[in-house]
Amino acid sequence: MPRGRTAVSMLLVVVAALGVGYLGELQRTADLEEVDSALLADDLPIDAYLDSGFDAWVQNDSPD
Amino acid sequence: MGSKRLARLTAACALVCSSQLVAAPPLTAPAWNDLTPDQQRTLSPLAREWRDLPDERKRKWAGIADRFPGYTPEEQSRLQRRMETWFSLTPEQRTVARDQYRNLQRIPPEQREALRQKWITYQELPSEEKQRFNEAAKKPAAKPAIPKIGAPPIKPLSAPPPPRPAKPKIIVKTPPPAEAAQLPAPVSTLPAPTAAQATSPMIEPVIALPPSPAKP
Repeated sequence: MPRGRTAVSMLLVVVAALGVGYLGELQRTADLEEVDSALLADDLPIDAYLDSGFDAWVQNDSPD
Repeated sequence: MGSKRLARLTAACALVCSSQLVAAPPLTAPAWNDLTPDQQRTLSPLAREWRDLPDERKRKWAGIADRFPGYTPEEQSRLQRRMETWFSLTPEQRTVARDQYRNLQRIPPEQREALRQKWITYQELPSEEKQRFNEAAKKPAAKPAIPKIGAPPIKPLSAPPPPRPAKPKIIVKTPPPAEAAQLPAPVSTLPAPTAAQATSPMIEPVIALPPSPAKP
């Protein structure tokens, strides 16, 4: 009986670990989907986001 | 008695797990033919490359296709037009773009609307000027990592015999680069107050770490 219980507990732990990994992966993909789709549909062209100088310039320009 | 309870518990767990797994989308990447007609239409710019895409990206693009109807027609057309460009970027470039995007999203909405105009203005800047901003943007990325987080712990580890120089080993904190470089000249870095400034804010952590040889 205790052996069976241990086996079931271990099984549950494994299932839980797999579930956490799986959900983490889903979350990561969902984050990428969100950012990528918003970025691609954005008003600014991709080049603006590739030019790190632009961000620096905007941050410098916006304090007022 | 106990075994019945155990069996019930196991069944309940199995039920919960299976229902979650069924409700969640599959982790397998969809082949082009597995996509719905709508998804295929949305992702048509990537049709040719689809087969070679890594699984993770296939799943991501399928998800983007699902979000597609939520955008305005104008946004939809932009999104589709940019797919190939995005596809052709290196992973590093995509990471940079995402980071920049997130950064610029922090700008207040009223200013964000002006970003398009700012981008046009920025493009008209002389290339030297743009270069300056580019370099300024790169420096802070490397600096803050060292002085703020890295300096205190790294010093004691990597520096074996810190002879404790008489002069403060000012970690040449030239890093107020972003602002310093951007503003023409005024906000000078730390030239004049070197001694004073150095002793109080910066050096303390550096010197305090490799203190005296107080070893037993």
